[in-house]
Amino acid sequence: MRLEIGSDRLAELFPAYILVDCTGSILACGPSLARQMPQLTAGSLLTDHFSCGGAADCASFPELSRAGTRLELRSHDARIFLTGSLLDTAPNYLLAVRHLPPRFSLKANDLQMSDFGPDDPTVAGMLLVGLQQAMLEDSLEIARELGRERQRSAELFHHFSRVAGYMAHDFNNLLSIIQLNSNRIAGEATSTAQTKRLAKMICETTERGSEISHSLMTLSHQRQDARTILEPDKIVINNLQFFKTIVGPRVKIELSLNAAGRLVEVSRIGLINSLINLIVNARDAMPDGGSILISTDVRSNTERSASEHGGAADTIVSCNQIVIVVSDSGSGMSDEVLANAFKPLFSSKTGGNGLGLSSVLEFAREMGGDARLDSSPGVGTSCSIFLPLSDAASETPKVETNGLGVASKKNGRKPARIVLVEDEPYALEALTELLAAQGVEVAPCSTAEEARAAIAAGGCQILLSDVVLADESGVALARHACEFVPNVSVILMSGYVPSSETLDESWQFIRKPLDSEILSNMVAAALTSFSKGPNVT
Amino acid sequence: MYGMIHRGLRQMVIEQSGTGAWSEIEAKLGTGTEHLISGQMYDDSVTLAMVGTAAERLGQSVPDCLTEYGRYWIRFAERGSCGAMMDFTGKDFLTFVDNLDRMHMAVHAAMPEAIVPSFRISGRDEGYVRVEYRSERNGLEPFVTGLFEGLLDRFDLEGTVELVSTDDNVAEFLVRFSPA
Repeated sequence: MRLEIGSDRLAELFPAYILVDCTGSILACGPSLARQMPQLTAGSLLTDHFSCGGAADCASFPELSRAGTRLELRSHDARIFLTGSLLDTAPNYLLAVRHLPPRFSLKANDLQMSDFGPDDPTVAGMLLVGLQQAMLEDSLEIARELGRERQRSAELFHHFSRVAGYMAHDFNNLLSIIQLNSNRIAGEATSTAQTKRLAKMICETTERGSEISHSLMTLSHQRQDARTILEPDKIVINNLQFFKTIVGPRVKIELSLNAAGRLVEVSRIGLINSLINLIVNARDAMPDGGSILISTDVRSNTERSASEHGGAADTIVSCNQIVIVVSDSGSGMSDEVLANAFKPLFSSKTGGNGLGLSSVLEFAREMGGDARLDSSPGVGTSCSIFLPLSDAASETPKVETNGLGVASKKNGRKPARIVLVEDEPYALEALTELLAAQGVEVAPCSTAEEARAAIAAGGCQILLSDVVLADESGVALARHACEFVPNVSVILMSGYVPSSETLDESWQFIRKPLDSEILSNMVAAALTSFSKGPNVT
Repeated sequence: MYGMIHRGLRQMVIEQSGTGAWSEIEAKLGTGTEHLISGQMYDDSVTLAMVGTAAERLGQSVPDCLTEYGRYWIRFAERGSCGAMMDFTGKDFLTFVDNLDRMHMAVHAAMPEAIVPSFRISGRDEGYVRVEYRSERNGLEPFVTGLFEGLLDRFDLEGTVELVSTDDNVAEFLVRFSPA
């Protein structure tokens, strides 16, 4: 069959064609080769420019064209690879070849779409590879952008946390001074009933002011905290006094702890803050007073917590968990409130910030557990936190003695001695007077350095210290005291709980602003503990 | 439309009015970085809302903003990850436009849900070319005008782009050009 085709159409169908005569001399070439190999001139030999696989020389052209053998041409500089058929166009031969890129990367070639015939599948392949590479480049850029955004957010949040923490600390210190001195005024025998009433109003107002600062700290203290192995029952017990400062005198806290010895691996700050949030909600649900029950238990069943109970929608609660429940006997929640209670920024309380329950849920889920609400209007509300059990042994650090400290005798006959450390002079004065009234000897110190000297002087049974001091952290001071006096009781005063990795489980915390009665009770309990022997908590 | 369109729009707004301007747009629309994933297809309503809000922020009408964005898109694509694809598609204006459909076919093969336009040269002579533009989308003629203007810049040409007719889903453009 004979086929006639014009040179334009030939160039369109085979942009890389080569026309040679029977001696192998080049007569013409397609526009693609003309562009890429300007040295490919008419009259030059094909073999001057290409190695021809499948054709040893042009003498074999007749046979190759009859056999339809596939040709492969490689330019001597290895830039151009062509493949195709040899057609007998007597008296000449047409090499109907197309480009075969060794690599499909668009950037690795000097090829353009016009170098290929209209239906050459290589074009689609190269474009797809090019598109894939483009998407990958963009994805990497987006990942970098997201990383930078996250870093900026984390830095901003960290900065905000620090500022908020400092502000809340200073604010709480001032409130603490006001509250302590109000209690002093109320306690004065010469105070009139009106004076006592005014002092009480001042105390209640400082409590409300304290809630504002604690809301700020809740908002800002969602920083990454190390997970540690801890026993929830012990956490509740050790922080009970702290919790009592939150609820105030009109609300009673009862415990039903049934998970003794059972451990979880969670953020200590997160757990305590979550309990604080639940306790605050429970307290606020009982404006006229009531009782809050904190209970723990171990679950070994698999249950589905359905959304109608206000928990995370249709959550499967898996085996081997500790459940911590905070229940109140307050007004309960309506179905509408219950359905939205875990949502961030949702609050049914006037002036509420809507972050407490959502942060509880976030904490529980981050720790591999979940949270759930149950409530009945007029009956009360329970919030359950589910946390996976840990099999690890507790990493509670033991307080070591180095032989340098001389422990006070358990049954010392001298008056009990408290080393009191507070860098706010008015607060220090009020606390000293309060404690002295209990019949204890107080060594007031305004710096950690003074406190170390007082501890070294001997006889220290209780260290009562602010966490944030001017010259040293109260936590570091507490560690020093424990090393020097192995069975010393430590009570730390703070507006928030310091980071987990620095704490000892046996230490107690009292929240600022200080409640005189609660502090007195804590000191009395610590003195009793000291008199019984070392490390009784 | 796919996310790369959003990324180009963002970059144009940032270059003209700063990152704060784009942040305002995102805040108003409730969009974020998740709407800028190049290979992800988004509902046209998202893209159109972005363009509308960007136009408002830049103090332009939507058609003018689309035209400007069309011009900008060519620069954005050639500077970015699609530069190699653009070079492969053609090194002169006529070849590039002639090969656009083949290029869009590859896009469609990679993203089957993409709605790709079609461009066909319906007439040409010295200094001008007529191009038929077909798309299932309506109202993007100003954007296409900008694309052609951007291509003239890319290939160092001076010229004008005129929408000469629209009929159903077909619009015809007359592009006159000469070496710059």
